[in-house]
Amino acid sequence: MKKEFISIIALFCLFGCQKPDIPAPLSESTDFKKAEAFLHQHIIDSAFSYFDRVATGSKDSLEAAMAYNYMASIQSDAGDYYGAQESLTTSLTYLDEQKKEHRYCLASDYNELGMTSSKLENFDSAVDYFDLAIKYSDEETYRLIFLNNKANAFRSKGDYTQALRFYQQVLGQTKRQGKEYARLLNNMASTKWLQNPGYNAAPELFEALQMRQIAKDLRGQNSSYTHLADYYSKSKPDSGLYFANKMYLIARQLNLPDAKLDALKKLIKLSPAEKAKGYFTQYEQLNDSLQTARNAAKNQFALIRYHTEKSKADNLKLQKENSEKRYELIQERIRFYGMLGLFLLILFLAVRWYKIRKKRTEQEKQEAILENQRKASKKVHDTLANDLYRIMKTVQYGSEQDPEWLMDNLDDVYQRARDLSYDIVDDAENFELKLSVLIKSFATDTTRVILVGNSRELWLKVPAAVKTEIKYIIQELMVNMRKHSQATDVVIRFEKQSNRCLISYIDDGVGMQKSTVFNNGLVNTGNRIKAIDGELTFVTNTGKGLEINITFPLA
Amino acid sequence: MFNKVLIAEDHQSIKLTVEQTLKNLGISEFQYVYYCDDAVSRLKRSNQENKPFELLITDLSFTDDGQQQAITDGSQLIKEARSLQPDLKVLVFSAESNPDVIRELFDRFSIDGYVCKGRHDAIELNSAILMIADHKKYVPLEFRNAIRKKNSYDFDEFDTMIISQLALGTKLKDIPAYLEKRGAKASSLSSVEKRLNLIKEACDFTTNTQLIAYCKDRKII
Repeated sequence: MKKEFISIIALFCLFGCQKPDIPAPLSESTDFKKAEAFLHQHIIDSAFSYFDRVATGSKDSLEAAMAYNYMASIQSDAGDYYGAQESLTTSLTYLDEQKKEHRYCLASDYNELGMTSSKLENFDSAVDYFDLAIKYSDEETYRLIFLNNKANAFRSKGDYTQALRFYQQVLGQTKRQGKEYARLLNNMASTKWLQNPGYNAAPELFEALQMRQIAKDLRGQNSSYTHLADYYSKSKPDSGLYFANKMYLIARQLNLPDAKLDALKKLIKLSPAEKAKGYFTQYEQLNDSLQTARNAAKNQFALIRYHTEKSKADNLKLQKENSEKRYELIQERIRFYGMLGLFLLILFLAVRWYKIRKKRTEQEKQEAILENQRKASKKVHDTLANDLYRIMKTVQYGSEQDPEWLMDNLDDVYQRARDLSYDIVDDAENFELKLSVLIKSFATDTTRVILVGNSRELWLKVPAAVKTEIKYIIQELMVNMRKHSQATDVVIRFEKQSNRCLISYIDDGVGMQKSTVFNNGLVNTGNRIKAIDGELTFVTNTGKGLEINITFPLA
Repeated sequence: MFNKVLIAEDHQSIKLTVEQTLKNLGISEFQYVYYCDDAVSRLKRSNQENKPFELLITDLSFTDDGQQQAITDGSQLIKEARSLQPDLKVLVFSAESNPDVIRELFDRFSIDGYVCKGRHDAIELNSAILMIADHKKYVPLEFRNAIRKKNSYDFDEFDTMIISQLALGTKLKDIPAYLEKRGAKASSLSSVEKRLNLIKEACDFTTNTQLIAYCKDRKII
């Protein structure tokens, strides 16, 4: 397959068109050098692949533009003219006409665009492109090549006058010898003949052929034979056939498929019917394989470009995915820290709330104690201090001399002081005894009060404050019993259950009415139970009695 | 009359009253202790020397002066003293004026007498010692009505044990042995019977069956 793409420049010469060599960029990357090396060895797809890599990856815009230019040439050679034009327009986007070093590449791009347009028979565009190529070409040689190409475009278009005008311009600046002159001579003669079928182009055509034979310019000779075959095809078909054969011979020598096809086309037209049939078969075979090869090549290029694009896209996709993952990670982290923050905030608020509440209850407790102390001190002052003062003054002024009077008065004060001491300090010692006394004091002739398990050991580890609360809780229950229950029998049982104390109250009264459940005394009782981390449960509350359990932690 | 008396009291103030009263009664051997623990060790020693005290006069409340004590109040001292020496007479001499507390002392600790500190305590103390020496109980006049048995009772561990055993069908005579296994001190058949009678009297029952039925019904046992 690679054999079909022998030379880039060769094809254009065949059709009288020319492509100048592209000067190398100032600094070539290794990929670019490799691509060029492959191109010189005619390993076209590898060359294309490397150029594509340079084109899409290079940071040097001129190098990228040149890579695209090379790719366009390769595509154009393979007959992929649209692909070539795409590469060229891409190449142009990398170029800046203000930069001098970019101008030769611009010129080359426009020249290539002109040639592909000619191939696609879009001659008006081709002429415009060639004009632009001429505009950007700073070298005379190149300018003449582009001018020649432009003339060719006009000739192909059928505008022979214009074509000849530009050939003339080229001729005026070309030495009358060498390949270029031979080509020009050949082109001009055939154009003149095309313009005027009566024109005797033979001398000029032969002159050009002779020059090419001397120069051993096979491609030039092929071109000359093509024109000669055309020239004689009508007037002298024998000569036409002769030149067509020559043309085919050289084409085979050069192994140029397009040239072979051209030659075969002419042979089919000029040969006798039987021979023509053989040529036709050959033509068809060659044409088919060429088309297949070109299609394959087109696909190959598309595939290479697709792979490069894909790997680039994959990279981008990967980058995108990476950044998406990073974003998700950040989001997750934000969520996590958000939750943590919220949790800590709630915790903080809860702890604060608890502390404030604890402080408040503590304050209330302290205030209650202070209030008690105030009351006590007032009582001490009102009852004891005043009485002692009175006794002191009576003795001082001697109004009472009787020692009995003094003894009686002092005894009175003593007894009140003693009673007062019970009010001020609620002694937690002998608690079981005091509790027993308290509970039993609710017994009457009609109400039996029974205590069970109120042992000294039970209260040993209970703090004084808790004991006080328990005393008030039970007192409140008993008061409630006396006021509302009509009970004739009350049992209060104390029981140690692992690390809690259970106090169960059972009576045989009328039970508690819902309206009386939450009277003030019981609300206080509820608060007291809460204060010692206790729990109160109504076990039964029927018309036949009331059973209440109170539990609180021991120590 | 008593020959040997122990006085547990942390206040010097009553010394005069007690000493005067004892001397008037012709009792010359008496010892003072300021702490309950000291009282217990005196009782132990005198028992070992076979010269036991015959009467303990004690206060109920002892001031905590910072010295670590095993026994810190009079009622505990009474309990401990009785377990050391069941026949020891006990007279409580205290400022306590709550009749319920005093009744509790007679009920639970079986004290022999109570005298309230006050204007006429010297006279009362004298009468009390005389009555106790005569194996009678001395209850102050002003408390006699209040001390009358009320319609109530405080069941302790051994009370519920006794009733539970009865409920299970254990014979009365086997109960003291059972109680001793359970750690009860000085339990005799008569003390168990006394206890049962006390409970029945307090709760207004006439038979053991009534008492057992009541205790079952009220989840006492």
